[in-house]
Amino acid sequence: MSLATMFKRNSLLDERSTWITSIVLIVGMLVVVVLNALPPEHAWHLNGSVVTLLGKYLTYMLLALAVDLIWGYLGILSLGHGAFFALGGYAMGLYLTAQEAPLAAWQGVLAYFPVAALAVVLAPGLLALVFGWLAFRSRVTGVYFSIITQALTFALMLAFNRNEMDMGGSTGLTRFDELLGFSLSTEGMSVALFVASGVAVLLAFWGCKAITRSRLGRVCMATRDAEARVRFIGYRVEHVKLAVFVLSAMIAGIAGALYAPQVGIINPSTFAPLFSIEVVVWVALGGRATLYGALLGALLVNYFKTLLTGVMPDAWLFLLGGLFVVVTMFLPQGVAGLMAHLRRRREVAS
Amino acid sequence: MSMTNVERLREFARPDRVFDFMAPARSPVDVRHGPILYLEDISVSFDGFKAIDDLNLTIDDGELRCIIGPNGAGKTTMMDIITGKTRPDRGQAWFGSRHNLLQMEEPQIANLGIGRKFQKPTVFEALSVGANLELAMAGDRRVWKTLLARLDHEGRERIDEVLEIIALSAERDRLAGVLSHGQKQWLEIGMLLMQRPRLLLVDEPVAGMTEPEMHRTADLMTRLAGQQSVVVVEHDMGFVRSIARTVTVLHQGSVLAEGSMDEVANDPRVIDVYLGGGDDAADTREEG
Repeated sequence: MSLATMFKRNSLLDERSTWITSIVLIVGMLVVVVLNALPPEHAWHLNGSVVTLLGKYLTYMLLALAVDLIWGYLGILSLGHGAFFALGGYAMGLYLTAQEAPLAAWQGVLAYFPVAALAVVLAPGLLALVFGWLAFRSRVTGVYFSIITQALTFALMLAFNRNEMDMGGSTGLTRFDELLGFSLSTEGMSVALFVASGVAVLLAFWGCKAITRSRLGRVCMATRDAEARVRFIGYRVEHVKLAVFVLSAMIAGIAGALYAPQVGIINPSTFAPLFSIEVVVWVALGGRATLYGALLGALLVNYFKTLLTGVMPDAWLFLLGGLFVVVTMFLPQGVAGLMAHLRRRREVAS
Repeated sequence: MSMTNVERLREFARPDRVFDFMAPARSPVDVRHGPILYLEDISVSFDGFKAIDDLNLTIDDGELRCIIGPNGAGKTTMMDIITGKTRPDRGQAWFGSRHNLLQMEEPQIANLGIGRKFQKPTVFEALSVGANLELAMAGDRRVWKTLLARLDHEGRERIDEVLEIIALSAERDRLAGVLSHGQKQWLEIGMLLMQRPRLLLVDEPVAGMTEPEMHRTADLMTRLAGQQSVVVVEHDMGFVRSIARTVTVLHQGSVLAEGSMDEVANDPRVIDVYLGGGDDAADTREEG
């Protein structure tokens, strides 16, 4: 097999992976909705709490997608993406809280859904804009950038822990009952939020795919591999980075906004540096720079987390750490890379 | 028959008229009154080490200039200054008579028409050869425009043309990462050509090339000069001899000698610091 045909096949595979991912997502969503619609006494009935759990996985997948967009394609390792996720979650959380009791003075505007919906993308977007502008303009890259993103999310965690912020202090926001006038405790609402999360994942996946396949996407990959060269052919690298970083933060914000009503709580622990690192592990495990790898990684890791924390909660962190080491050493391309490798081997064999 | 004043006025006031000074030129560089590149009294030091010391250099429009000099003579630092990567402590650097290079950033300088090839070939290995050239193609570099950019017919033809020049037509769809070392060097030169630069800075283009590849590169360099100015920094004396019209010898950050290859090679100071020195590596290469 010549390298030229391998390249062609690779781009084809890329195309096919987009179709497969889309179909799996859509079919998966339909199956969940149908199973939930079965009568409760039916053996295959899926109850609301499972649907909500799956909905939570979807918001994690969306967050992983946001991380893969900047880490996989642009080489920016953000260890603070949980901050953008949490900000989106808090924006939604404040809206939900406002349905029960009036908010502190300046937060009052968030009682209106359109304002809250705007805040979901604007709050993380603005933070990313200011933070990214300062960092990329000063050409902070690599591990230094990662460290300051950790500092960012840690600082925000401390700030949101303070009661003076009127954000519920260390307990966070929990009194969520109604969204757009519908009660959150009904099974119908669980399904609606699940579907909304699924649609958001699908749209974000297509959007990210379109970006990565555009010339801008190629500029991103070029920046990841040889930043100086990109500068010398005339691209303003910091503008490219800033634009994609802000977009990624906004996607993370949307994920957080979908997360809060499904989980029923948003608190400062979402800002914890550990959570942001965990997100990076999902993406690394699934496979970087493929987009579907990030989705797969987030789903797999969180599914196993749910399984294991039920059986032996103390072992989970060790397992996660061990998994990360194993993947880094033996599967640098993650599960997605392993799958592509196996497929190529099978094709060569046949 | 000459125009009447009324006709002249009408011609002047035509609504669709574009005044020369308003028309977007392919390159805004002004070389009517002198050289394309003008460096004066440039000095820069790193931690007390004077990398460039009172350097004066002018390159004429369309010229092919070779710059030689032992390691540490300041060749790469000079390129860093011209392309905006390093700021000198003092001195002046002008591109044409209108653009002060010391007030611009790398992308601005690149878009103005200075292309640079690095010493170590740097191409985008994860992208195809064609995509490498596409990214380098002159065009709107803003984020939004780049997102929506499509490769049009003209662009595709330009890529084909450059692929032809750098002899990589057959490799168009291969990943740049699998090319041979020499092919990567050419691809990088091809990327410079896509930018349609006025001035090409080429750092050691034949490093790691085989003999036939080196001949092709020499051929390519001579063909490029004339359409654009080319500055070649090279260690390989055989290569320099085969393309050089004017050679500048750098030594300890300033110009030691300048002239034709023969003049320079016979200059006692040059022989002393560079070509001489008995067992100097450059000397053996010159003989071989």
